[in-house]
Amino acid sequence: MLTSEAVNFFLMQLLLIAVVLILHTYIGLHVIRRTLIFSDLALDQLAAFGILLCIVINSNEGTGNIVRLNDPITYIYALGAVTFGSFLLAVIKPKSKNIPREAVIGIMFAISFLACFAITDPVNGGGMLFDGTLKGDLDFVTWGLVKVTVIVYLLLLVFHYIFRKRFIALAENPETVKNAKLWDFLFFLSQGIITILIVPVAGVFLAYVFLMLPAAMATMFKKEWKSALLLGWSLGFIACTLGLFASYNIWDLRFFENWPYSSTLVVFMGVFFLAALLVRCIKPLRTNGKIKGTC
Amino acid sequence: MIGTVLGYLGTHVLRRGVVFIDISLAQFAAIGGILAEHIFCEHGHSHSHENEPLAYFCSISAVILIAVFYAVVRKYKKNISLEAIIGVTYAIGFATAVFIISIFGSQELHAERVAGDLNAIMDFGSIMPCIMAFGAVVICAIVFHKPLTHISNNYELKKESISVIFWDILFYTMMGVAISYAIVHIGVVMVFVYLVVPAVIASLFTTKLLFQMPIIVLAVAVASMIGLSVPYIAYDTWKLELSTGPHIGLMLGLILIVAALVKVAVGHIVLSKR
Repeated sequence: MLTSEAVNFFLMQLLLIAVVLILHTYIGLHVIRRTLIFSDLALDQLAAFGILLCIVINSNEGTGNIVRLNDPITYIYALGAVTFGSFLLAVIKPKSKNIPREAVIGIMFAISFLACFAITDPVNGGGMLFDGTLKGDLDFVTWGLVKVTVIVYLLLLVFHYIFRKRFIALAENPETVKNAKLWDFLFFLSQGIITILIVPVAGVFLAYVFLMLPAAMATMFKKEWKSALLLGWSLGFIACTLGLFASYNIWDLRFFENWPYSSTLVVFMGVFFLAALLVRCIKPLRTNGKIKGTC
Repeated sequence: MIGTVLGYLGTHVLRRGVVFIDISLAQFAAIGGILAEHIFCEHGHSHSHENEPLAYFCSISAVILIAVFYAVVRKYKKNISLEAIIGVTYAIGFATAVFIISIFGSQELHAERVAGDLNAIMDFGSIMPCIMAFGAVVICAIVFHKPLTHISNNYELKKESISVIFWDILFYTMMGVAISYAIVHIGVVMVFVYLVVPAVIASLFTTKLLFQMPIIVLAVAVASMIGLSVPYIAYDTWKLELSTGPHIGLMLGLILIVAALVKVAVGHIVLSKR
């Protein structure tokens, strides 16, 4: 039997996941259709870099002033880092065919990952801090954070709804968009802002998976934006709910003992993704009686 | 040697436009190694040298398995790009590694596989298996140079026949062997950096492999020398114990920025002369 504290905890988690998945699935669809797959991972890692830089600069063991991963000041540093990253993502587009844009994104991710490692390496307990940004911490979820996240996500949803034609054009006919670099920057910045809110709680990899997996599953089955968003959100929410229950061991089974929060959610979403891939391979898409595609 | 061979493989990866396949293969190699350590090591004696061949075997098996998966999916995928599938499987691979470690316990093992530990190289004997594995990859690269380059240069067109799946699996297995041995010393992310950054630096200036290789060797040598000396200087001066891997990676990043600026400056000079 669940205690009222546990019910409150699950409500908070499920509400946060439900809200987060709407915008993440929508932006994930853009990311997949534009084949900028790792842009989110690069921004997630940059947000982590901002957080760690803030902690390294502002913490002082001598005075007892220790900055934690989710202190408000860390969000400001993270915002600075992702704004810079969004600018670079929008501006750097290699002209040479031999250097794919994904290579630039990949290098941004790898360099920010190594920079995180380098700045935390000499610090006492730096390894734990670095690990914390990769895995996130469930304990950081409070009603205050849920409220802020809901407000920011709603504002971003309104922003994306108002300018949806321009953003969709960026994905479908980029050559028709005026000031494409500016709209690219705004797209990456909105992706970066959601990253800042989610990384301390979910960690770099769960944040990335939230964006990619529901959208990837939806892309395999639906082409139209609205239905893809609905399908991706539904599958993502079911997988996350099951993952959350498993990590909390709600069924009190020995099998689920010690299952960590964020990686359990990823593993559950991964199982859903592989099942979707398998279904698509066995049952190809058909249009007018003709097989249109498999996976 | 690691940097040069990975740099060569990186030129193929760039031509194929599947940049993240290497980080994904590296991640699955790490999972194979971690699983081997947990399954075959006696309790309390993790990380023993007697189990190293088994760890390599499990790493390479995991890589071959995922390589076959990518080669087959590439043939059948339509609605979703291969890069998206690679991205998703990489994240799942990372989470699976964290998951395995959380269940069995032994945090430092994953940290080593992700970040590497060049300081663990104590003598020539400890890197002999790595040299032999990389030697085998070099021989394969020379023997099968023509078909591999042909497929890399026409990657989007070449995906229908069964023989292409065979060459794909062979290429990914070569990468897998190199990666499995390299991650033990330099870690998952550094493997990715060695694969992509030198190849991008070379591609800024030339498209011909013959001219790309000297640039790759030079970039790797300069970055490695400076990156390796930073921790020693830091220890001598401030008594700070730093890892070597990240500094080599950051140095390569710096060389890339300088190379890109040189490329832009040269482009402007050529344009103004015209």
